[in-house]
Amino acid sequence: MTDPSHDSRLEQILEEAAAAERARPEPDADAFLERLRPRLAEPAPTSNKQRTWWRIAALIPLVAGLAWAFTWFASEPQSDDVPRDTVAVIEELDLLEELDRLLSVEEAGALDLETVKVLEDWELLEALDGLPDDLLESSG
Amino acid sequence: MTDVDAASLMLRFQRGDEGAYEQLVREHLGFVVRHARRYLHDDSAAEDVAQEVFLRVYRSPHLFREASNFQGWLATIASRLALNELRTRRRKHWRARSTLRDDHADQRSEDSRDWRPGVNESEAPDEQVLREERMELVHEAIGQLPEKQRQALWLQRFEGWDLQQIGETLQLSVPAVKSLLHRARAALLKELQPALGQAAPQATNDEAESLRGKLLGGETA
Repeated sequence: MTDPSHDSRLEQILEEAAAAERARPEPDADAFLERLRPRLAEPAPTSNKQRTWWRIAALIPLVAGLAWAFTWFASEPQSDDVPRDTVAVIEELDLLEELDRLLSVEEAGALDLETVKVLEDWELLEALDGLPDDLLESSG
Repeated sequence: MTDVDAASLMLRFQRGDEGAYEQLVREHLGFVVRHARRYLHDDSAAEDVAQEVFLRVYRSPHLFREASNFQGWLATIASRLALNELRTRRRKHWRARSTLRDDHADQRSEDSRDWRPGVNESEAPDEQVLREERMELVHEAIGQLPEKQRQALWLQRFEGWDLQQIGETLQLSVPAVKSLLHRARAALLKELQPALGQAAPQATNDEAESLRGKLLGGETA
């Protein structure tokens, strides 16, 4: 329970604080208006609502760019497809025919050690594992 | 100035009467500065807030509804701006200068005063120090109250508003304002308990001093 003397003491302190505030000089209204007038003549700054719309408008190209990038990446070949540049290199070096020949030799069990070494050096055996059968067939 | 006068001045201003606007500024400047100063504890920053308040009144007079309490409207804008200013200061690690300052700051009057109660020349220096400490304590305790509680307390105790006016400003019913003030008072009592316990009322000291003087001086009642 509150001590009644504290209650009246609080009342007294609040009254004292209010009196101290009332004793302070009032601001000079003329000087205040003098400073305010030039600002009244200034054009009003953009409102918060307008600013929000501008921000949304500025975001549209960014969102569109992100959507396009997402679509582009989604259309890229998946990791288990043959990488496009590997196919291009193989085609350029005209190796598909050669590989086809080597494969048929391998099937026959006649792949000599030297050929295997060359294939290993070129890391072509691994690449061949990734190539779809129809690609090798079409090159033949 | 009553709120009816303020409302009719606003109406005149809404119809383009710039004189009515200046009159409104003159009549309510003191109130707005006092209100902002209670948050900011700094006269200069409080005047900056007042500039923003009256700029908003000038640019958006249509936002004032004729039926509402004009000073309540000003108090709401001033509170919002002062709280924004405090938040900005906190973000900037309490930079000394107000962030509301503008190009017109150099025109500001030189007699900028800080947050101290008026000095009473007739008061003994030690009593003055004690009084300043008391004021600092009470303002600090009020500052720690939740926003609605301190606004209600300021408006009632420092501005003399009635419960109805406070309710209109804070958008609360009269019983809700009563409860708010009751809780504010309880919180203040709790916060100021040590200070209230130790300091004897000054009036009692003065009376004792006066009585002693009378007795020593041989005056008779």
